[in-house]
Amino acid sequence: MQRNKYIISVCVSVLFLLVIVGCNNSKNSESNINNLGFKSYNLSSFEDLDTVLGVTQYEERIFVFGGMGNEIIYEYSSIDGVTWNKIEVSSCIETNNKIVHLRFVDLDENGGLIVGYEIIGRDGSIESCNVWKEENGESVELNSTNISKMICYNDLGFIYDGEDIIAYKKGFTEELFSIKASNMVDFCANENEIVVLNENEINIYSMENGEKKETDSIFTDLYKDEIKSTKDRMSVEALSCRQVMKYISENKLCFALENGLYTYDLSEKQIECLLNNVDNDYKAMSDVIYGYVVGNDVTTQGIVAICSTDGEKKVVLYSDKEVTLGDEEESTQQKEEQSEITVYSLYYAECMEMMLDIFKNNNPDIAVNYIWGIDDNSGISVSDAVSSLNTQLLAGVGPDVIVMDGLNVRNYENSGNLLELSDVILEIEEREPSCLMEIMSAYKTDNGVYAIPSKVQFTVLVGPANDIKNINNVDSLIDYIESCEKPNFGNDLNFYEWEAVFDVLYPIYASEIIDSEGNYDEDMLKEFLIKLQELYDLEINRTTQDEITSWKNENGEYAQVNSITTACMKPLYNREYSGQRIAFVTMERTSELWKYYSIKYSVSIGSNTENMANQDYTYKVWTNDGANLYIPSLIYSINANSKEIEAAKRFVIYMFSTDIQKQYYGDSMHLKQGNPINMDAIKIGNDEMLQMGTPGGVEEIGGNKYLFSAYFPNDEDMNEYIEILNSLKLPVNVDATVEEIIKEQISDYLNGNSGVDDTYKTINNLLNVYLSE
Amino acid sequence: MKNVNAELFVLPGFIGVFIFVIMPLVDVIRRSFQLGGMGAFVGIENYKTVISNEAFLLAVKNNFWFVVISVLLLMLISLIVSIEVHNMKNSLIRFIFLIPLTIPSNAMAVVWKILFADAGIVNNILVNGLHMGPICFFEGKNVFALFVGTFIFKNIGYNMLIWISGLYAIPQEIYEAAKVDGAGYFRSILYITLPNIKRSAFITTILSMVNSFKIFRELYLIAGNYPDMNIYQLQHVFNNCFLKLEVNKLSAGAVLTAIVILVVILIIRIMILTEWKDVFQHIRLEKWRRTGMIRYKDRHCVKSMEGAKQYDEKENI
Repeated sequence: MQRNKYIISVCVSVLFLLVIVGCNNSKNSESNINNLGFKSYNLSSFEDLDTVLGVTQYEERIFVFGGMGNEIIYEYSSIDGVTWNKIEVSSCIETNNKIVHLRFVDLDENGGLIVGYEIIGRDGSIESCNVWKEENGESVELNSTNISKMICYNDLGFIYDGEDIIAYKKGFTEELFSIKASNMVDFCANENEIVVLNENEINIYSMENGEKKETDSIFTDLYKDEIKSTKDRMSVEALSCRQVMKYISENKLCFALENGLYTYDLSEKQIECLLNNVDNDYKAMSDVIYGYVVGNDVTTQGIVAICSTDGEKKVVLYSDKEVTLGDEEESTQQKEEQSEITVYSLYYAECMEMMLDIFKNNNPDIAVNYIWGIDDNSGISVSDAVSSLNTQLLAGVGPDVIVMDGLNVRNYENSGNLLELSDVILEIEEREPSCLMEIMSAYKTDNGVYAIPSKVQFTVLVGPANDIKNINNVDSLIDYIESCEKPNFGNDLNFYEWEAVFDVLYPIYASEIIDSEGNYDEDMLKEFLIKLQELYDLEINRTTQDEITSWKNENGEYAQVNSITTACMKPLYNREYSGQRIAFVTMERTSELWKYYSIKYSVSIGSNTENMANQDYTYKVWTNDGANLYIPSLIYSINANSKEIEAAKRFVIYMFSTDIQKQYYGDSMHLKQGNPINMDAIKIGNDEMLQMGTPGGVEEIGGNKYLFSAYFPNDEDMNEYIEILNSLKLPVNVDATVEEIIKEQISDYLNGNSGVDDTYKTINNLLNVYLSE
Repeated sequence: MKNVNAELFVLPGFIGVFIFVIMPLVDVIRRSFQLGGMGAFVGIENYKTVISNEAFLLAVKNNFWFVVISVLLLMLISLIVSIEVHNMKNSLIRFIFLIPLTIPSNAMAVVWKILFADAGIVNNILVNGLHMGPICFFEGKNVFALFVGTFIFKNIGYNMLIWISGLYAIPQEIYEAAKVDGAGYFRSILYITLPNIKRSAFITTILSMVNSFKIFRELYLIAGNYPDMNIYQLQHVFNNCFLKLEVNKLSAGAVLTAIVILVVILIIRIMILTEWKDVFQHIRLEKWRRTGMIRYKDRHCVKSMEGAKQYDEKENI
């Protein structure tokens, strides 16, 4: 007995000690972070700065280099960050009629310009990487395959080509050493060391020979997610420079991450948080920090950063000192007059967050909060989220603007909770005459308009014009597939999971099964079930398990990816290799159209001859009774009980402006951004993309590399796209509840556990109950 | 002074009930007469809509059968168990029946899915162990039976507690006297136990009926908003109406349901708590009064029911 007591007391003591040690450890990791509570101040803005090629400091002056087109470099310099002196540095590089991508500009130890640039071949590939030096006006060709980053420190130069950091002697004439850094986020150098930041650690290399000296993971362990999101966001405005990490002093680094500005003392292991999005207003999600300069004492001098908010390039000072600027009084007054609205969407969408940032930047008198019912990690069911929203609406405290995607517009309209929006439509029509009125009026009834879609999606068939011209329904699609030989890899449409077939096919039938007035056609339900099974069985019978596994390994499980549209179209680049001739997809965003045109031109990298292999490709919008179908998305409604109705209306109207509609946003799993309905925005957006150079990427199919252009290559294609959007006539009424009821029964049905009659009977019963409720 | 203190003690509770029960109830009744639950007064239009609604009628039918079958079975089973447990010396056994009460609905839904799914443990045993055909537990009449079973499994312990408290209130001397008079086990139950636990029976019936509506939690977690037609219940209608923001239907349906439940409770109260023997004799006295027999009663000073009964026996009426 005594012994047992002894053992128990020892166990309890050990547990107690473990708890104490655990608490102490966590305290330690938190205690080495100081919050300095910096604030941000707008110093000035650049009106004509396009691509930011470099941000640096020489002696007392701050230098910002901007690129315009292929040859012109603008140099902006300032002492205080408020007034800037602009110089045009033109025709400094011999182009020899070739396309030049200006990549980075920095200053050497004497203040002379060093310009890193790439020469682009006809096929869009990089022919050579070069550095031009103002010192002697000469260019040096480098061995690198591309220039992903360039910095100069004293008389040394460093080039990162996506794999290695290569150190060059003065004037980039001789390679000194290289450092392997394939997963790097950023690097910087001081007299003794080169520091490389990646998601997991900070590696410190010797400046003498490039050998690794030390690895530090204290900072990266704490800010792993932020570093990752910073890396992910580096693809935004990919042609501009991006400085994440810089030396402040011998052992102290400064980090400009997505959610905060930090300093880290490598010797003391001390972190200082200058400001972040939790405690201060650091930066919006859509903002970009291109570069910054910081003095030796960050607490007295602050940090001057060159940022972009909604395309406008600004100079921002981050400091813990109170800074009085000329327009402060005005901004205080503005703040007092500010109205506040809340925007709700059922699913979290990154695109919404980015749109809201743009709105906020252009409408400083309206503060916007974004809330959502479900995000990818919350595990909340749709009905719980809807219940929560309805409770708020009935209590009169609901959101001001509701994004109706996934919600039943008619139910909310009939409940009297939505505001009539005819005047909003008229206002949009007046301000943005190129917006498609027919789509905006998709939810118009005799009682008025209570919801306005701002984007659209549509189902298309992509393939050789002769092949697809006779495919007008699912039967002819099935006949066509049966008449074709099985592709060399996978199946004809790249449907490997039943959800993929369902999600493309269901919108086509949705309005025929239950129309917007709630009329239910039982025969259509049965037809849908039969066609779904025929198409699914046909595709799966032409697929091996290895091919399914291989697809999932390459593209991910269907339920966990944002969209498979581009993946379904990708094999069409090289149809000789893949054997795939057509794609049956929903065009959920503009990038999918870019992909289509890239496939059509299939510019093969490394080949100088024009590729005509896919010139016969076209895309055909799926029709019903001769009318082109479309799925409305990002549908806006205003809460009738909102206390800020005017501000809410302004927000909704702004969502149709070119500022919002021209942008391409981040993708989300549930709430898709759709295709724009403002035709001017498409043109302006494309012009801006072209001004940036030729953004895009490379796709590899069957050993060949093809160019993916993130823009419409020519006006004809863009006009064709605009024409297609104009031709969309028949809105698809996708009732989320009906879809869920049908979807729940489909798994057993398609897997052969339930026959068509049983499945039909079950769904029919449930739909009858749903409709009679 | 004593009365004033008592009222003060009741006041906080009353305020709570007024704010959180009575006011919402009045609001629901008000909304049930308004267009869309918040618009103009429409009389009994919402009630007409609800009564003619097929989904509502289906739910009423399902709820009716669920209440009748599950409550009767639960009452019977829990009573038998209670009498047996009451006679047992080991008091620990009654706590075993309370365990299902402590299982959260979410956990039960998960376990039930594991057990009763088409490829679940029970079907596995049926097919591989007993070489029988699989049973689809979540469809048709089976799903109804499954949830009746679930309801009994979950509530048996709760009912048992109420029964046992009633059983404890019966003086042991009566049983002993009956035993001396030669009454057996079943006679004792029939003539002593059952007549003495009427109040417990009433409480158990009402609580079981109310609890039978709470099975919706498990139903919802297992089968969602639109389950098999056999288990589609009133709460599904209400829940779905709320999701569609059809407050008018929701309010009218809720008021109708409350009225029906109230009427059913009154009927049950009358049926269980009324001393039917006294009622019949009262009726008989009334009959005498009308037929002139009352004069005889007055003459023989028959002043009580017991006296009338003795007179009946004497005169062989």
